Amino acid sequence: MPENTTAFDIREISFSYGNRMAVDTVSFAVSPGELLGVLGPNGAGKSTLLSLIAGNRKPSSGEILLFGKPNRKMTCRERAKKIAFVAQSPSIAYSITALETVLMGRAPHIPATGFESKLDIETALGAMKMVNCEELANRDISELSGGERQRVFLARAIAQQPKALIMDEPTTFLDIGHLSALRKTIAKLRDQLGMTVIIAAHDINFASALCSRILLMRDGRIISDGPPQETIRSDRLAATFQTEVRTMQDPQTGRPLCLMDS
Amino acid sequence: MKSYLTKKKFLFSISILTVLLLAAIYFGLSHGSGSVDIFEALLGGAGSDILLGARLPRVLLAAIVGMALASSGGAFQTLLKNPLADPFILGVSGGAALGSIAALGFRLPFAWISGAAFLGAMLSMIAIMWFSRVRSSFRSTELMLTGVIFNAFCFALILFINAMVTMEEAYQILFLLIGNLEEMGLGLVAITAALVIPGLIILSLLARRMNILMLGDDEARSVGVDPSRIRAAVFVCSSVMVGAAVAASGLIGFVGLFVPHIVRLTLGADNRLLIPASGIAGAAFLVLADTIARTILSNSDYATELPVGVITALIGAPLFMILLRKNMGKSHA
Amino acid sequence: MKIKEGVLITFVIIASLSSQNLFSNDEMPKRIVSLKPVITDTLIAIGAGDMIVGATKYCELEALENRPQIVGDYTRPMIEKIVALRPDVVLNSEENSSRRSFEKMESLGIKTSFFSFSTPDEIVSSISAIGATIVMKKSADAVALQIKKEFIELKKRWSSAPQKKGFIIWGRRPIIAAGDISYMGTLLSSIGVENAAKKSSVPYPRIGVEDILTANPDFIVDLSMGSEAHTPEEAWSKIKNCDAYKRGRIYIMNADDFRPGPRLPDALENLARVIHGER
Repeated sequence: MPENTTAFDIREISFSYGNRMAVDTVSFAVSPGELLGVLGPNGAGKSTLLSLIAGNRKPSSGEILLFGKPNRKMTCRERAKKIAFVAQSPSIAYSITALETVLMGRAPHIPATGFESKLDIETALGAMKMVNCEELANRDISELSGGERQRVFLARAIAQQPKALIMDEPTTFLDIGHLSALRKTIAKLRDQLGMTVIIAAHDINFASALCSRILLMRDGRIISDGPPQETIRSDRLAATFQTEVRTMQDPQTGRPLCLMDS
Repeated sequence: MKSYLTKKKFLFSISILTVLLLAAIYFGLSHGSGSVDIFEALLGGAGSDILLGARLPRVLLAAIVGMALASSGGAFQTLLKNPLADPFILGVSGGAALGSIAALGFRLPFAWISGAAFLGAMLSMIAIMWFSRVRSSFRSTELMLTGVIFNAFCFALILFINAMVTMEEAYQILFLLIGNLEEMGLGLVAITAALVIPGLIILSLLARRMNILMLGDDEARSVGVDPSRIRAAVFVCSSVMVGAAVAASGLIGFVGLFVPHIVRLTLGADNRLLIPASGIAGAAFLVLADTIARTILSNSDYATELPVGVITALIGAPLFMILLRKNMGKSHA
Repeated sequence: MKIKEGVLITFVIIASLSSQNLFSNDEMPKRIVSLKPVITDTLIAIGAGDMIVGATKYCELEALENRPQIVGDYTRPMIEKIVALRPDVVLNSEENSSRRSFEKMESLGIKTSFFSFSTPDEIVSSISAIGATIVMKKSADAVALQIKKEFIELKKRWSSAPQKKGFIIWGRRPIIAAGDISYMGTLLSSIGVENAAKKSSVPYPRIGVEDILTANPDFIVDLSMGSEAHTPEEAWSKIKNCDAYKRGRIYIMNADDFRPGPRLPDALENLARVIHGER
């Protein structure tokens, strides 16, 4: 069996909300182990694009292949074994503990009814350790701060043991310490577990530091696709965000940094 | 205490609740306006008429109705993420009530009234499902709104019928609406059980996936659970249970609202335990409430019975307040 | 006996003296609205039937040449219709009445008058009182006295019958029995019947199937049927092991006959015959 070299194959997908075209004929491919960042202004279609890739919505035209198999031919459960999705502001209803939340990530691997096994507990705790939130295990999720909650939800995604991780704006509630930790964790996931990661982000510098490839989106279209050095440039960024920015190189890492117009 | 639900905790809790239910049933069978020696009666001696003919069907019906109402109440509270949800919120009960009252208004034979109620429930379920699927693939807010409006419509029709019937019929309509456990014989109780018990089992099997729905639709999908399918399954299952309960006993309030909350406050929100535990606790609660309703005044000067809904509210509400305060104190420590 | 009669006659006289003198002798009311079937029965019995211009939909009006207008049911009188009839007086009973509608009528200048029918003595005195109100005292007192006589005769006739125990059931869902302080309950002893319902301070207690089974009555009188047509076997299948059921002693009768008014003595006589067999 030939090894499949593409993790995600997005072929000319479109999606509209009523009359408004949110994603307009987008095509690109993602290789396994890539760290892909999706940047763009509000309303560019980043969240919609990630929803489509994760299988949460169906494109009105076009096709998405996950590790060689078309999205629409997969059951929810099958897809869940391959991709984990972390939403922008996950909702919580009733009081459950952080550990119970992380354990939900084990769902695709457990039969529909029944209780979690010891292995599941260990995987969950291991995932929490990776994100540095294991001390929160017995705490009530509704009592945690935004940042702590986000780490728990990331742990849940990791406990799912997917091949790919899709994250919609994970940087929102994180302070600089946690941003840094998140960056290191995602890099670890790619290095240790070979995970493919797609992140939609507001924070341009975070994406630049973390990702191996950046997509710039505007009005539902991809207007630039390439490594940070090619995409995080003042002209490209100005076209995307319709505002003047300055860029410079980080002396230590060599990655481009984006600075506001003075 | 472990922070997640283990098999041990599950089995332990269910066992204790089952023992409580059996105790409640014993209490119900041994109390009434007459005095009956249970063991003598069971052996066919004096009082076996009363025990088997009057008390047994009523106590069993109370258990089954309590089971149906509490477990579907809990399921709806989870599904709709709304602590105020009760088993009547989604509109099926309005259709059931309308069915029974229309049957009364059209002067159908009494034995048909329960059947008409259940038919009303099932027609409502289909109507609401069609509406929700067509419009919104079962999103919670839409489901709730549809249910509320449907209930309002059914009750308007009920009031209309009420204005047109005779005095005796109007009084009977009231009787159907406030809820009563008097009416059924063992045969009909068995039919109701056949609708409710499998429903509870199915709901309990769906419980794990209901847990996952608590994360949100997109996240649920991402761990492999299809939200609209699960919501539809829970809705159908609960509708059959609630339809059977209302057809058998009218609208008995508070059980479906309080009992799941009390269970949630003591045993936690994991639906795998919450649903079956609410079912068993609801059964015990309603058996107790009905026994009190029919005995507390019957040997006093008043010598009359109270409607069961009065007792469910009078016991349930203070109990709930006590538990709520205890819980609030805990989390704000 | 004589003392009792004397007391009652005095009672009747006092009651009629103390009832509202709404009208003087020369302004006899000609247009009456009756809001209770019992009152309509009474008006017809004392010869005032043609003065009735408004009645409830449950009143028995077949005998009347000029059909009165229907102005409501037990609890909801239609005020506008009543006003349009320009009645001289509206007669109602105190049980199950909506006070507010009457205050409204009074405020519109309509005379209203209330009467009570909750005990046998009240039944008799109210007949007289109604007569007094509509300035037909003589005929009303005669009717009242007649009724009282009939109650006494009833007791005489059936006093030697062997006591039978039974329930008088007014409603089946929920089961409502005539308590011993209701008018039916009080009169049961006159026809040789012991009320199987427990002593209650509530006139119409709600009872359960268990109460019936425990009491194991000799008979049951079911007055609840109204518009339904069921055989006793269908309606009371839950107590099929009861003696009364097995011996076919569940009697379905018409509640209207047992209204607390002029018809009651005849209905009770009929009931006694059914229970005890002909005498």
